[in-house]
Amino acid sequence: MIKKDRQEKDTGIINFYEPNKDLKKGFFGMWNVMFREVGASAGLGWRLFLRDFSAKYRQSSLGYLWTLIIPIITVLTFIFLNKSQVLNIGEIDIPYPLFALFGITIWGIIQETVVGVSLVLDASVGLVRKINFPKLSLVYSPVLIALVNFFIKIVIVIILCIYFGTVPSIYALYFPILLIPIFLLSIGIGFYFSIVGAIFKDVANYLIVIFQILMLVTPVLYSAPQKGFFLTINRYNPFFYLIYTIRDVTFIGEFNYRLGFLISVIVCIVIFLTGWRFYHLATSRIAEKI
Amino acid sequence: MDTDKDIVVKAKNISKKFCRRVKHVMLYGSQDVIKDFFGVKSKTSLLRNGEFWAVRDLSFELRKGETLGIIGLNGSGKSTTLKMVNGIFMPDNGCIEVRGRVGALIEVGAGFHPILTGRENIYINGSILGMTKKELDKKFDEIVDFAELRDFIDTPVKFYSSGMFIRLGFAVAVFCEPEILLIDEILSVGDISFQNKAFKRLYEIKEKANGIIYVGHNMIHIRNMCDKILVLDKGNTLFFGDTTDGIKFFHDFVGKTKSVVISDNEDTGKNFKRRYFSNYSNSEIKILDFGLMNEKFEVQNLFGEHETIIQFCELELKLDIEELQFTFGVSDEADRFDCLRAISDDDSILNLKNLKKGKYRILLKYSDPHLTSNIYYSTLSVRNPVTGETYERIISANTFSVIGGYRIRGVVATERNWDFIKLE
Repeated sequence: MIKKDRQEKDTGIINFYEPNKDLKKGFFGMWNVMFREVGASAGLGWRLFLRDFSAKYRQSSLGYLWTLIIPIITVLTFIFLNKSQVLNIGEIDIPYPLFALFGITIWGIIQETVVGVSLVLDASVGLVRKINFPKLSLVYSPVLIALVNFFIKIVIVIILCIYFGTVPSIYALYFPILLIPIFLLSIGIGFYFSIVGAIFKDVANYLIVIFQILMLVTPVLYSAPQKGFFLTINRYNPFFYLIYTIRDVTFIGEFNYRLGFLISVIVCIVIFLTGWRFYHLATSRIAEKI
Repeated sequence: MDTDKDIVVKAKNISKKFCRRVKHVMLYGSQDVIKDFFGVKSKTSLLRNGEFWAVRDLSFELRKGETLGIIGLNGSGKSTTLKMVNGIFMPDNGCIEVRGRVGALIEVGAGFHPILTGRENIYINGSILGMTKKELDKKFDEIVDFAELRDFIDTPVKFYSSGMFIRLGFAVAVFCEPEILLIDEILSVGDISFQNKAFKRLYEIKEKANGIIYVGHNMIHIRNMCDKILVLDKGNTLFFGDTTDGIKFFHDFVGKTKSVVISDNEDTGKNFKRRYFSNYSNSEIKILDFGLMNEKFEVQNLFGEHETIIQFCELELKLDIEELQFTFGVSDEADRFDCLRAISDDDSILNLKNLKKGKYRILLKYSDPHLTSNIYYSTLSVRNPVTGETYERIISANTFSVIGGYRIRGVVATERNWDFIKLE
């Protein structure tokens, strides 16, 4: 073979593959790799988000209106049930439609993020088996889509505030910060479920059941229970503290259940970090098993 | 002088195991991810119940500028090896070092969403393959022109024909300029003109890439492109070295060990080996054997230039047939071009009428067939010219080679004489 002058390219990338490669890096070494992956996967993650977002409502008649229709119908159902005294939602300080829509908006973040992240690995099995790409990039799309849906609903919440003349408290400025633990918890749970869902295909069914129960148990559409069985459950339910606090701080300016909230935030961070580690380790091991 | 920096891919005793059953996949998958999470290292070099080795103790090196071919029968571990170099599967034993950005021509149209347009899908697929938006913007027009889809680039991909889809996916993949390129049996997509374009582009990539690993079945492509070759069988290395020697080795190996017995009848001539792959069959006639022999009636699949080739077929008639007609052919492996073809009627020598039930053998001898050194395969069809019925149509999956002293071009090998004179 005649060796011609070659255009020498050298990106300096060296990959070394061996059994237990990730574990050999040690506990802190692996976090280093994981954090660098955030930057490396951002470009592709954004691109996948654009793909899913563009495709979601193309060729549909109502397009993004669907994001509003389902929550609005749920809220209307609860308003009706409340008015007919079928359900007793308890004492609340703001108009019920607003209360309900706000609750559904926050719950929507949780549900859409958890379900979205849980299903994304299974949906991309073909890609994972054939191409080497940073698996973290798969997670950007469901999180960003949940964020977009959230913004659409928040606009309606603001409109309702104006309509009812409800003025949020000055502490509503903390609202974005209070969302962070909610997102972290949801993504963390999603990480765990996504690996489970890639191995066991019925995870989507589990999620549907769990969320139905959880939404009824957690005071999303009704006020915090003062006594009884529900009170006991919610004492240990991080979702309760997160949703209750964000609602109270935004509209009333009160911060009750401080200890519970603090513990919930710690739980969120722990679940997010452990979930992320789990996802990172497992995705490099299971390409041949999904 | 070879320094370590010259080696772009180094695989040392790598092995990979898989599970046979889904229940093991789920069980071991769960065990493995849980162990990893708690920092417990797995003993991957042991086989658990239900696992098997797909690749075992494989070692090879790829140096800068080289192209390595990996060949073997289906299930030999070629794609698995490629996936380990690509970093998709982790080796269960041994280690692999890969220097440089890796690109793979493996999955055409990965990540394509049918509802989105060709334009949008180029960006998606390109990003998945590792290209940045800037790169894609720069190469966009070239990609579209290569795929010949300028008029349809804004149409949703679900409306594309399968050819258009493949062209688009392939075009994106060939414009990704990795340092190490991995190709997995993808070069036979599309029509002839597209394949030619793809090959031309591939040679351009070969100039720029630091190394290529090519997995394929087409020996012509392998021979033209690869400097070294690795022959695998059931995960084990059979040969690693020069391409031409490797291909010869592979043919020999397939001829000797991959005989498939298609009849349960043990009673055939002792000179013949059974070797047969069929794709059409009828129950009135049963083909017992089909292949090639040399002048001495020894079964052979490697012939010298000008060496006599005999095509033979042994068959059993299950009932009386009024007339048979045999068509033997020899075709070029790459281009599927008929080089030799003969029908038993042509020469009106044989008596193939009013045949009674029983076993028969037919031979067709080509004395000095003038075939160029190349790789060929044999074909046979057996029909009844009276009723028009075709009993058998066989394409032998075993190729055979004709080898010459030096490279001969074209289809026919004949004596050549050159002359060059100055005119006044």
